[in-house]
Amino acid sequence: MQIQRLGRVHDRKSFDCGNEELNKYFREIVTQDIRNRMADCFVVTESTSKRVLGFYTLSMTALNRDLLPQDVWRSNYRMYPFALLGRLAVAVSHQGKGLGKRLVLDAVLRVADSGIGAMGMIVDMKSPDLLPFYLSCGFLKLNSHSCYLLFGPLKKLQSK
Amino acid sequence: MKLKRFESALPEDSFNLVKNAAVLSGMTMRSFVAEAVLARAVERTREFAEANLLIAPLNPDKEALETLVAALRSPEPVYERFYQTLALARKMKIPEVPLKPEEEFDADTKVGSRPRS
Repeated sequence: MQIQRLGRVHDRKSFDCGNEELNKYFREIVTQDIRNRMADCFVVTESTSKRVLGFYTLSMTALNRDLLPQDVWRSNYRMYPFALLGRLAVAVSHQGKGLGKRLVLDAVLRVADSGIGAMGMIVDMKSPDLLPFYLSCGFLKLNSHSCYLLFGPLKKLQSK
Repeated sequence: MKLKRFESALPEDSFNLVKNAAVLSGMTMRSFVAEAVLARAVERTREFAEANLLIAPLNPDKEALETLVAALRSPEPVYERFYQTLALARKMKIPEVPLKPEEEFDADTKVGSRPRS
């Protein structure tokens, strides 16, 4: 199994995660988002084939500091950057095997190691039923339809 | 109403198919094509608008704001969760294989965008 940035070589047409909206996004729309730099997409394939077993998309988003009380402000910047795990899906043939969790963890690692400033990561869940899944991936509940991780200071991480 | 014209071409078989469909609909081919193009454009625009809904500034509701504020006031337990998640992510890392340049999607090179260097 291997992970790659989505490219021309990957077979998107045959991807089926059982959710028509996500299938349609992956088959028809994701390449536009990549070309327009709205999102990047990463796919898992078998090492010997270009058939996609799962994918996720990453973008950046921002939280307006003015929504927060002053005592938790961290800087004078008006917008606080967060990474957004926009979409994630696993092919029906590979569901229930832990691949979804590995994709979420890959996304966290990718952002944390990217060298791009982000205070944390947000996941917009398609359904509240997904909450236990994201909690099992280490995320915390933000509200009924989203989860989050706050990234801790790297200094503390290095001392661990 | 100001009208704008455009030119398009189809392979002969497709042209005949469209022409037949226009006749069956009791429309001229021009009207049929214009209507079909407009319907497709509306549908596509809606799809993209829906697809891009997630890429917007965070707009947290009251519950989410309260959660975030509490986390920022007392971040240590939340950071601990992050460190644990990151450690697990390193352990379960899926090997990454970079794409060859010819396998990548082209960056958008429309006017106003910057081509990849």
